[in-house]
Amino acid sequence: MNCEQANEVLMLDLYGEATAADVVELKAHLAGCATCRRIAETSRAALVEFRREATPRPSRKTVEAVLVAAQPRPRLAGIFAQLHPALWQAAAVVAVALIVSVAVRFWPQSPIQLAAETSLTATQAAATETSWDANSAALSDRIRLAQADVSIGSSLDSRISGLRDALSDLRAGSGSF
Amino acid sequence: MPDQPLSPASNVEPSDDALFERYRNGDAAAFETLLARHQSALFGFLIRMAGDRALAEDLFQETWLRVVREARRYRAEQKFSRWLFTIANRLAIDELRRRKRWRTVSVDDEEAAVELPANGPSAAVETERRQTLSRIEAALATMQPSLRQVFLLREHSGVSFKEIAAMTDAPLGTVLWRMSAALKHLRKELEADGMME
Ligand SMILES: [Zn+2]
Repeated sequence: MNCEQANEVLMLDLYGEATAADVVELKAHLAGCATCRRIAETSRAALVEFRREATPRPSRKTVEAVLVAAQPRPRLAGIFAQLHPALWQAAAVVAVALIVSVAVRFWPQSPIQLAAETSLTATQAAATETSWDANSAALSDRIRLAQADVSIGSSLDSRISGLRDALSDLRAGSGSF
Repeated sequence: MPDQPLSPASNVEPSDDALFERYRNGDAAAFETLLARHQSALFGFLIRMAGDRALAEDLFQETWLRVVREARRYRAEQKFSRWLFTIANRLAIDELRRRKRWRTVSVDDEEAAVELPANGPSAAVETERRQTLSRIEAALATMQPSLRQVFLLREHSGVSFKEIAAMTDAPLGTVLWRMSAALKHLRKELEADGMME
């Protein structure tokens, strides 16, 4: 072990980090090297002096500020758990109102609503409404016919095809809206 | 009378990691214990790094605020004290670079709550203590920041030289050399007054 190596091991040894084997080698070096021995002795003495000095502490104000900032915030579940039952009821009412308003907005619309939204004139709207009624009437007729088919014992296929025709007619009719 | 053996569980302090985990689960008291456990070492490091009590108070507060803010990112495989001092060290270095200044620290102001022996020191001892203190302060104030950083981290944080090497992005050999140079500087300052004869 040379002086440079001895110095490194000395630093580790001052903090108990040197291996047992390194400490043995260090001691052997120090026994034969006055320079390193002097460094080892004064280093230990300097640390003793340094550690004798009391460590200053932060002010109470600073510590309190940290403690306030560190207060754990209640988690989401905790917040819900703290809600009063009345608040839960209010939240439910708001949720239902929200769902209803969204449903009304996106529900399959009648021609009157469509007219209002597409700035159709009242006459146009009335005309379309009539056409909607006509289509509805046609569908009712077809359904009635299909029901008649059932009553006279016609096949299931014919009943289905009757309904399919009725639907495609309605679809063709609604295209004119 | 022989010492009564204590049951293993009765005197085992919860680890930093256990306390921090409890804090992360909403236990404010666990944080308070953690703060009490580390406040002296952390503040000692910061005030000696910064050389300014007001700045050290700010850095101390900011370090803990980061700990709180980054609590979820903390992983237990990294020792809590290493994480704490890594944050503090980075903040201190950044701030000192920004300010590009260095003042001699004085911890003998009225705010400093210095712990003294219970029976109180005699006047002579007190004078000697103050002399030593001012020498140490002078040594730290004139020490190169890279040396001061290694010396103070090792003295205050309790993390190993190997960990300091990782924290400061320097090889272990460099860290040990810096430590040796820092001690040499401190020795010289103390020897100048014949304090270590
Ligand atoms: Zn030598």
